[in-house]
Amino acid sequence: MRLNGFFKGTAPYILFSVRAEKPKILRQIPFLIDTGSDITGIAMKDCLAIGISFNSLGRPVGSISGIKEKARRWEIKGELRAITQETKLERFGPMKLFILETSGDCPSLLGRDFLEQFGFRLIYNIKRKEVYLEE
Amino acid sequence: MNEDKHLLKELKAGTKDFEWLSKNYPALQKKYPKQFIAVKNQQVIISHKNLVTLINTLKKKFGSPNDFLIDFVPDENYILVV
Repeated sequence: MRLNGFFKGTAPYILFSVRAEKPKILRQIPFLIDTGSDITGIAMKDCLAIGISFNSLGRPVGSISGIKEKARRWEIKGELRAITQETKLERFGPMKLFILETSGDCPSLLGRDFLEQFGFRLIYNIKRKEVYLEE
Repeated sequence: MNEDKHLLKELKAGTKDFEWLSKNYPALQKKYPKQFIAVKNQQVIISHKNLVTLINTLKKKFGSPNDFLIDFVPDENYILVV
């Protein structure tokens, strides 16, 4: 199975429809494919678009540390849905997702946890403008 | 089954929008540097330097910001480190 990605500049992104019950989430979110990240997380700009209030999420489970900043995080369970190269719908989950209180410019992240749990590898070739996840 | 059809249709539309954003990224960087944009049907519907203002404007004009692809467009000197 192949899930095609996109470039934003040179950064690899992939679009998923995210579904979760608590808090209620049903949104298409472009995720930066970040093999340096242990976790998959939804960033602030997407949380605000969904209407998630950080104050209603209870105690954070911890924080996520990056080179740039440290952000509070809350753990939820959710499902990611995507279109395959053959335009077939595929569902991935339930899986652990995190709500991240990042700065507004920070994208949502698809981490190594997704690649490990669902057995994908990232193919990234900027010269050929080619990026996809392959099972 | 109907839910799957609906979801597939939505994802195809979302994919078109993100493909459009990807292809037009250099032009968007020139037109909307350091701004947040809301995209739908391969068009920038609203842009603003402040994310909360953009979200509130979408709420006022369209009811829900959830139907829009919202993205930050950095200028050419921006370096993303996560």
